[in-house]
Amino acid sequence: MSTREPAVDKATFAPPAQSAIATIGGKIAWVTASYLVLLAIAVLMVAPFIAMISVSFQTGSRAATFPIDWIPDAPTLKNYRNLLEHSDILRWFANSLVVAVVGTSISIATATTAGYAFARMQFPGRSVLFWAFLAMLMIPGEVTLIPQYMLLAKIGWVNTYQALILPGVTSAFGIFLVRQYLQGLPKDYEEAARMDGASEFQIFLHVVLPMLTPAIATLGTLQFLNYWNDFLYPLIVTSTSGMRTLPVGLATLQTPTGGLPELLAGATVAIVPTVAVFLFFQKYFVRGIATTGLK
Amino acid sequence: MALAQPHVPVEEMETSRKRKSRKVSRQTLVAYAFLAPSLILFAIFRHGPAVFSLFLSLFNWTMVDDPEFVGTQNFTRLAQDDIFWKALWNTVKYTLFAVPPDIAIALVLAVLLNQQLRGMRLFRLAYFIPVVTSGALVAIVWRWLYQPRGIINGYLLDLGLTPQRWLTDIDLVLPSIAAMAVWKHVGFNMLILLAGLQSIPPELEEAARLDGAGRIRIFFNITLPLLKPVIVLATILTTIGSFQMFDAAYVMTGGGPYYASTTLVYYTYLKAFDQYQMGYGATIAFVLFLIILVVTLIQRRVMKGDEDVY
Repeated sequence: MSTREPAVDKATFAPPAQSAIATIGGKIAWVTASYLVLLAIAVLMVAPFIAMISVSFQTGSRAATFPIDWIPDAPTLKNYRNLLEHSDILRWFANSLVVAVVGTSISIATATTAGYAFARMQFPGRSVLFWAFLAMLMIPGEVTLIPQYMLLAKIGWVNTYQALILPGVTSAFGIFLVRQYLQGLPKDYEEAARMDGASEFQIFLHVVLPMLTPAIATLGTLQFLNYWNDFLYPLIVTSTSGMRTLPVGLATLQTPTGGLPELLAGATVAIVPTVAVFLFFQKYFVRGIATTGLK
Repeated sequence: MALAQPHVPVEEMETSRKRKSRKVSRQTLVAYAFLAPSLILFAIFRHGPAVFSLFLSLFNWTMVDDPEFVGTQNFTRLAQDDIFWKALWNTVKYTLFAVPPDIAIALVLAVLLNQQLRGMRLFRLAYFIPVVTSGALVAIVWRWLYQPRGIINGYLLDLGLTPQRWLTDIDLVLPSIAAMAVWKHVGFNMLILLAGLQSIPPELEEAARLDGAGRIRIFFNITLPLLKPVIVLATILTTIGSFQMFDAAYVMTGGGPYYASTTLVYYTYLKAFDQYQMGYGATIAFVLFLIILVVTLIQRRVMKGDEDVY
């Protein structure tokens, strides 16, 4: 920008007193407009969820067609009961929970150990291996899906918990995150523990892991949501209703009652935990996204 | 990214070669012990399949009959496959419908939120909830919203507008799904752009304000150019995500009507897991990989260009 332009602007200014009033007026108008836009979009963001929850507590042939009752007159749990009776939703919920919790735990265990090795140890092949891991960030899961499935079919793992859990534990992002985080921390405590004769594994367990808590929370939140929300992969590796995860079970659900309200009840059951996890670990999730941005 | 070099003092390196080599090999052993679980899991479930997928595209592989080597036949077949070209074009169109509004709305939201007014945390939370929910479940909910006699058409009627066949009209189905994708994803870009805005030194905008520059001028002449790298990043990440669209096509339309919402990933799924043509499916997936690779390389190039400028 040239330096002459502002001078021209100043010359056209009104007397100071009036300009101050104009500025305050403009500011109030601007803030009001900002709030209106933000509020309108917030309503659009939340409304589909409110509609889903409202209708999930209503029954009758017209429950799911327009106009809907945003606040149910006579809320009922009938849709939830129907879903419990006519579908495997409890089983799907349990499957989702087991897969997400076990998978996330293994992810954390493997990413922290590998990240620690990359951050703190010297060994031949270090940079090659690190790049080999990072390269996997560039290959979308859809590309490796078919060979993964063929491998699982070969070893007889299709429709098992191993299949739902193990391929997903590999998080190149997690290894990268742990390494970056550790490189920003001093080595003093580790070296002190080494002087005291602690073994490498003891150092990792009692010194490094506690320091890594924030990175673990970030990785854990992201991985939990990945597992809980994943669709294409669990759709392919499961073949019976009893092995489905929640999204796959609900998406392939043929309700005998044919009811939409039941499906919305199921969606409510599946969505509420993710929102809860997010609200609880908000800070770490936001940090995870910021790390994606800084990659 | 440069890896940190070992800080080994020269004297230590020269003394007692024997002792050092024993020490190094011990540390190597420990390091590989720590790496082993990741190495094994990645080799089996990521690197192995990645290499195998290349190999697979050279075969007819049905999971039932013996695999048959066909050379580049899958690729020539792909070139003549009208539905493949339609799926590719659908994916590109969908990306064009979804990405620009996603970035534009996210930018507006980020700028408004960056004013540090009261209640901003609450707004940020509201925009972010769709981001953390499952794409398949969101698709179930939106399939219901988009019904012919659904909520969206209902409110359109109330406003005196014409109801639409959102998911069954050939020309409307991709924009409809894209609108849902923007709704679901805009909070993610909002967050990245907000982080970018917060990293711009406030002195720059302050100086421009003191010089009498208006809000709009400051935004276009100072904020936007400084934010460019973050906007590029958000655009690339969103584009890559759009190219991988599957959940909505599966849940809402089954790729229809008349293949109008069949995307590359959905077509891969159809070929590999509906018709068990693993080799041909892998060939389509390989094309997807190439596209994403090119997009990523473009990002690298654009980002590098920025470093040269500043």
